[in-house]
Amino acid sequence: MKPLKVSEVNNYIKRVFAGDIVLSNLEIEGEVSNFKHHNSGHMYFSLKDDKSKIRCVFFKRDNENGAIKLSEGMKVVASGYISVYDRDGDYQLYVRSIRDKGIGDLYKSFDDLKRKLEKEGLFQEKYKKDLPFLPKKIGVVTSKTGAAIRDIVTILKRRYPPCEILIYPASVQGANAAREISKGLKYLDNRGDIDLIITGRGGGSYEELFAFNDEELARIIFSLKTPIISAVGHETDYTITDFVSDLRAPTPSAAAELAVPDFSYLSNNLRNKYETLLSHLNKYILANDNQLKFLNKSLSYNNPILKLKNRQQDIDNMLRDLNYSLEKKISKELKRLLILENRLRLLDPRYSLDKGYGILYDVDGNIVKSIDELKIGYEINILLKDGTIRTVIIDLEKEA
Amino acid sequence: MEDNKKLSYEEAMSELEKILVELEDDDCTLQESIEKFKKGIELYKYCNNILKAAEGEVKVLLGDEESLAEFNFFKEDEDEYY
Repeated sequence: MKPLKVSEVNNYIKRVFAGDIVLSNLEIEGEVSNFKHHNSGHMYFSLKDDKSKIRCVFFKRDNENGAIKLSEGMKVVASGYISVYDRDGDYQLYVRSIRDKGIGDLYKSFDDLKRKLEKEGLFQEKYKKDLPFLPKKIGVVTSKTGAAIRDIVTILKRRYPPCEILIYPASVQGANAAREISKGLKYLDNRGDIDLIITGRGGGSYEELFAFNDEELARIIFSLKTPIISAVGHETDYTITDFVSDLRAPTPSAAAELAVPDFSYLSNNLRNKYETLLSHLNKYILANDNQLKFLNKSLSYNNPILKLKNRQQDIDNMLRDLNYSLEKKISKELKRLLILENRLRLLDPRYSLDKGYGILYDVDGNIVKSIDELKIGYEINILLKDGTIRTVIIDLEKEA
Repeated sequence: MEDNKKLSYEEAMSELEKILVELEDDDCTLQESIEKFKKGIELYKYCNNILKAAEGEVKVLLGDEESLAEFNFFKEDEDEYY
């Protein structure tokens, strides 16, 4: 048999499909997944059920009038035909129209589980553990490749370099993901040296994130002793893991931001505290210094020396008063004395001189009171009012 | 201050804040303030040491379930991730 070219085979299959009564016009029920609305206006996605999926293309000319807005996990019924995309040799559903078939099964199972666990109280605020302020060691359960772990490590290290990070690699999508993540969480929780756990993954389709909607995983998270932050997909993605974790971060980067405080902020804050402390001391010293100065002033005001000086003044004053009264007394006495003197003067023998009496003195200056004291030839002085007579006794006649 | 060793950063910080508030209180004596100030400085040093701790390592657990071992997450020669 002559070998066919690849393009010939694909072409042949395409023709077979086109001639098939089922494939040329059918409706398919499934969940929208890996949905992409390309710039060209064409939509690319898959339809899937729990076992299988099929690729779909919904061209712009067909989807423009579509009333429904497609999104991940949406359960829809698409009508169209199946044909082969020659370049890749893939068959796909060329959608002509699409309608909503209600909430997808996956979403329903998510919602059922959410309600169930909510009813059991697993999401209650009172069970949420406080995150450590400064975790020394952070355990991360996620894929060891991919953006999530890169973002987490980079941001943790940028914000708080001293923190240690221990990564437990786990699949974050696929059949084993939930089991592997659970195992990692239990392992990190039991180590005893992990202060905080982060688990999550980067953005993906609804199905890709679905490992984080596992009931067993949710129960293990609930039982953890270590605080845990979940970070699954993008801001708009909510999973059971998010609800049961102690804190939900909108993205892995955000989880790292929430996990540790900003180092430079901490340093500045601490530095400020230090400066406040110093300024307090300075203020205190200043205040006390002022108080000391004041005290010193009032001390010197109450200085005993000053008091002594005051006393001194008092004494001086008293002395002055004393002097004054003394002087008064003295002058009074002097006056009295003067009077006495005057009286005395009246009694002074010399006063008699004025009247023409004289006083006799011998040569020694003694007053001569009796003739017996004299002899002829003695020299005597006679004191008169206005002078002294020196004379010699020529005769003595004693009265009988 | 031996008991500081057991304090977390947060506890030490709130202790430091408490001291700052107490220092603002004019009622304390000079002796008291100096003691508080000394304690404050010690708390500051304590917090500062925590922040100054050496850069933590980044490790990844590899191996089978029974024998996990830690390896550096960064490759030896460059700043690339594992």
